[in-house]
Amino acid sequence: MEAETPAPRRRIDEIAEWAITLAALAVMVAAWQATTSWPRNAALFPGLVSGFAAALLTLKLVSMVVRKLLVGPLRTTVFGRRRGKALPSDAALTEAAEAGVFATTPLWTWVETLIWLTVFFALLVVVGILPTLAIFGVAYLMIVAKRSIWFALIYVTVLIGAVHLLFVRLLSLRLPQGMLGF
Amino acid sequence: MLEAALSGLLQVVSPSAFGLMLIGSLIGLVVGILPGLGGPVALALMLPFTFGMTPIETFCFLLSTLVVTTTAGGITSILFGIPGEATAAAIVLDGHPMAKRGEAGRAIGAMLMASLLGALIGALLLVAAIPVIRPVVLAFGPPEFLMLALVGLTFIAILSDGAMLKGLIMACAGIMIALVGLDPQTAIPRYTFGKLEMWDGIGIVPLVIGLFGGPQILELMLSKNSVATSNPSKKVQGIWQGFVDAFVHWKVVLQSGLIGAGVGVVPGVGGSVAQFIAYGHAKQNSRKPEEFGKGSIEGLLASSGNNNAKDGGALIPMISFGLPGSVSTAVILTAFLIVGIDPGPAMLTEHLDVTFSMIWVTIIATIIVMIITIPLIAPLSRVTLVNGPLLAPFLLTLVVLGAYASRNSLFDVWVMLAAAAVGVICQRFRWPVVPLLLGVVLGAACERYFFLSQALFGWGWMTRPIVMGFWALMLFILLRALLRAWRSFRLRERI
Repeated sequence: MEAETPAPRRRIDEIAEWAITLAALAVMVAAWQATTSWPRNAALFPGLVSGFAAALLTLKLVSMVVRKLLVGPLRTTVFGRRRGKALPSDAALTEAAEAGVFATTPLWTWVETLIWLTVFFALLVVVGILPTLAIFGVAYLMIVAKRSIWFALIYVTVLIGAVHLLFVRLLSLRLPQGMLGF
Repeated sequence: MLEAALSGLLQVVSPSAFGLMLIGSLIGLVVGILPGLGGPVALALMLPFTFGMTPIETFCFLLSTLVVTTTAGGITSILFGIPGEATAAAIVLDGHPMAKRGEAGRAIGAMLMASLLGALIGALLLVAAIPVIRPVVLAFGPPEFLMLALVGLTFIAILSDGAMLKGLIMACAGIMIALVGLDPQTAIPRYTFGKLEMWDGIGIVPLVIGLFGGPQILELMLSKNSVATSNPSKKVQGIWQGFVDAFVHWKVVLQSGLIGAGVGVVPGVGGSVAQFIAYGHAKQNSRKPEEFGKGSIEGLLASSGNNNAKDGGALIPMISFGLPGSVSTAVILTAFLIVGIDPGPAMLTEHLDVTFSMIWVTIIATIIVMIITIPLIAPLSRVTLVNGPLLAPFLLTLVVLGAYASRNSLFDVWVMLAAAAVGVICQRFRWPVVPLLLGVVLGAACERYFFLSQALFGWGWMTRPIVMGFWALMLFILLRALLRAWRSFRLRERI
């Protein structure tokens, strides 16, 4: 997931398209297969839908194979131009903008962000939402947002207070508790 | 009828009823802004407070909560890309890109005005429907309802920009997700993998929050930028521009309102579908369809114009037959019984003033939310300038609590997380998410109507006259979309 330039990005897109299509086809075939062991009433509708989806995916797969055979890997159209030719800068920029942050973010930023998210959800499972907010909030605000500890503490206190007031007091809802029962 | 309308209005503006409407509106505003806590949750929580109220007071309180919740759900959709309501998911598509451009004020203004106009359209339709609704609804059986749902799904063709095949595949995937859980006919667990939590199926709320909100939060955390990439300070006056936009594009709002009210009538289909049908219709008829999904004002108006109109539509079968068109109207139906009113023909004769009071509440509550929200738009718009890392803990809390609150289950948080991953992959590799959601929303209703159609008519249901009309409509929609795609392909080839 290095920050991708347009050419490698297109290659990744192409591989992903194959991978997603094949994975979806496998899922739909398995879903259809599962219906064969159910009674008719339970199986008819899911069987029809999964069968139709598998047919559509096969059609997509066939169209991808045909395009690859007829047009070749370097001649797929991009914005009406052939891929073998250099893209004009405006088209390249538009393509980059459409691909968005997910395509242009460097690998390290991805890893860092996913680690933070893993920490948040791991804490949620272990200690519940309110302690998670306190621990994650302070750490994230200090390390990533580069704010002072006082700012982080006030932010987290206000957030926890608002959550408690709105969800517990006003709406009488339960908050997610962790394995430790907080 | 005029006398009943006037009587209904006078009762609604009485001090006690109006006061309750204000309280309901404030509750609706808070609940609507919080993702996951939709109208049904708010109504269910407020229901016990209606004991001892008069019928008019009850409907002032409950309906104002519902109407304002629906409208306020659009605010978080625009500002953060996280739908405050499942029925506000389509607002994300163009409202959030507008906020990113620094036009949050304009977007909220347009959304509010379109909602108000939509409420008026829904109310007018309800009034117009009172004398004629019975024969129309009675002409529809399960096959017709099934076809109506399939027509909704066919709009995928136009929603999935240049990728109709992908759109259809995603819709099928959505339907399959909706089928997870106990089969309603045979009680056999389907696609549950032995997990008890899956017997109740996959919740729509965590799915919506994950699919739309997940990618937005990850984007903010990755980019470390604010939501808005340009300064909105001068665009806060855009509130008025937003109001004007709703009148400039009055046709879009009118069509969206009519679609919302029309689809709202159909039991079990409701607002989650109406918004996308209205959006797809506006895109198909727009002169600038390529701008849809990138901050198109027409797209925003189309998705906002129906959100209150559908409430008017959903009231029609409930008032006429005691048949709730949505979960929210089912709760309101309970309130009917609490206050001792039997819905049915009596609502159109004996209790016509109560029926009109409900119509007035939908209009007045939308005006109230507009008045409350206008002074809040400027500070809310500035939130879009706050850095991503500062917003991240707050937004993560919102999505987790939103997913959890719908069923008090941590399993729903994992569903939300999985949906977020799917949303990110779809956004990165350009697979359309909207048809997936539409499939999830319609899946259970489609199966129910399919089963009933088969049981009643065998395969012969496919040749019923209204069904044939729907087949023709579907074919027309598909062919028109294919023609458009072919023309645009030829145009690109020539450049």
